[in-house]
Amino acid sequence: MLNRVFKAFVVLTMMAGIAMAGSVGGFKSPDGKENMNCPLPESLHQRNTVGSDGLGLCVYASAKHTGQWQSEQLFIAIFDWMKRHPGGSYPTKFTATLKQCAKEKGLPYPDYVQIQDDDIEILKTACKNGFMPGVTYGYSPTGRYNGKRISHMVSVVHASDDWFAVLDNNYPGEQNFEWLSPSEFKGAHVSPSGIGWKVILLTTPPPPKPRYK
Amino acid sequence: MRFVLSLLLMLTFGLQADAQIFKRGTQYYSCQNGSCTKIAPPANPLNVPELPLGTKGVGEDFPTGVNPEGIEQGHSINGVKATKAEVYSAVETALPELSKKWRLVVVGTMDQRKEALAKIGTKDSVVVNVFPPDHFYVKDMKPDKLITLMRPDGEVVADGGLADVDKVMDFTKVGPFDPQPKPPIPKVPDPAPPTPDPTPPPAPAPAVPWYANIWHYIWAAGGVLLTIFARYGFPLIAGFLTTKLGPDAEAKIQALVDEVAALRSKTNSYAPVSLPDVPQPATPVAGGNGWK
Repeated sequence: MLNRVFKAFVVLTMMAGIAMAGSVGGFKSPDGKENMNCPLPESLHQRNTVGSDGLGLCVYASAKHTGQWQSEQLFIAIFDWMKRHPGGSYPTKFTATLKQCAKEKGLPYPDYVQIQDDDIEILKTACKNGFMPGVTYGYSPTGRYNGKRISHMVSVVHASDDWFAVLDNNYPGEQNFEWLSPSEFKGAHVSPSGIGWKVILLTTPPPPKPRYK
Repeated sequence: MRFVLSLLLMLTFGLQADAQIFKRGTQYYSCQNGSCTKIAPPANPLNVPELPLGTKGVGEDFPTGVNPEGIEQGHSINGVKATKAEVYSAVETALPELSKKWRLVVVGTMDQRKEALAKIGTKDSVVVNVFPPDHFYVKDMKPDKLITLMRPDGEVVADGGLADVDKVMDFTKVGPFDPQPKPPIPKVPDPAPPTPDPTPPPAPAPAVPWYANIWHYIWAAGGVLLTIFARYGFPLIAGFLTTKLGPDAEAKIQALVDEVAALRSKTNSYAPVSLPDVPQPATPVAGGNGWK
């Protein structure tokens, strides 16, 4: 009995912590100190949908965000292509669907890497250089999805030593980015198994915003 | 019954222009233009197992789509398994390169972009991004610039049109953060040819031939007269003077000359002067030279 009460207390404490963490905002970090690495405009935000079997296409919606940002046609095209195929994805399926789509549409197959581990440093390196990775997301630290566990993929649009920003394809919009501390992000990224899946497209990202003298 | 089923599926999935395959429970349907028919389960064209989702999201508005069972620790490059070191190396060695290279953005229609790229060529130190005019990135750039050269941090160094490609690419001869070489001293342009005066200058005076100059004749005549005078004038003058002085003119002249000589010698001569005698000491003064 005491054990159950203790467990319930721990779970409630964790859920309260999760619900209170992070914040939702725009292209600047909540402290106003950092501009977003990959400020994808709202007109290019892709709302998630389902494949032919009713399962979600979040992996491909995230891939479309990446493709839009890094001007990669196959990553853009695969979202619509997947609407006619069963949804849901994982690393080997993602590769198979990319190859099939490239073959059918006659699009070149780009360079990309997939990483399944608990590291988030690579995301900082990628974002600092203008790349927009797709990553798994086990729950929303800002309390979306009623705080429930999810099997989801989102786009990382900013990653630094102080802040991570997430574009969730179920919450598109320029004021809907989730700004999280690195530890908050890591917790959501690797939940629940301790392994997070990252997709990083290696095609050339756009240069930083031009500054005229 | 079929109508009701079609209606139900239409309401569920919406009107579809193209044939789409849907799964409801274990039954598959093909729907097109509002009509749905049962079909056999389609073959899996991807030849990958369909794994269950971890969660189905929260409500139909928030679908999720990751199959956790298919995620194992590992790494891959382009879908091919690789070691962690290989993958991190691929990312970490490729990405920082961007922070050391020039960024050249080409914005224009397909033809303009092709033409510009052909003229620019390839250069290791330059990363080129090509965008159509309606790309989101372009809204932060100056309009009507076909090419824009930036440092890795986004500072614009030069821009221009197709005619400016060579000028813009000259900047990339050094690294993006190296000081630019001093431009060569500009060649002083040749002075522009004088603009022809609409009113023609006055025509030069026609050259006067030597024989037309009156002063030549005057000097020549003077010379002739002087020669004649020297040859005949002096004797004539001498004869004239002789006539005036009489037959003994020479003797008179000689007398005058002698008189003048006598006067001169008289003027220059002095009478001799006798000085008084001064007594001399008998013996020299002893003790020296006489000064005390």
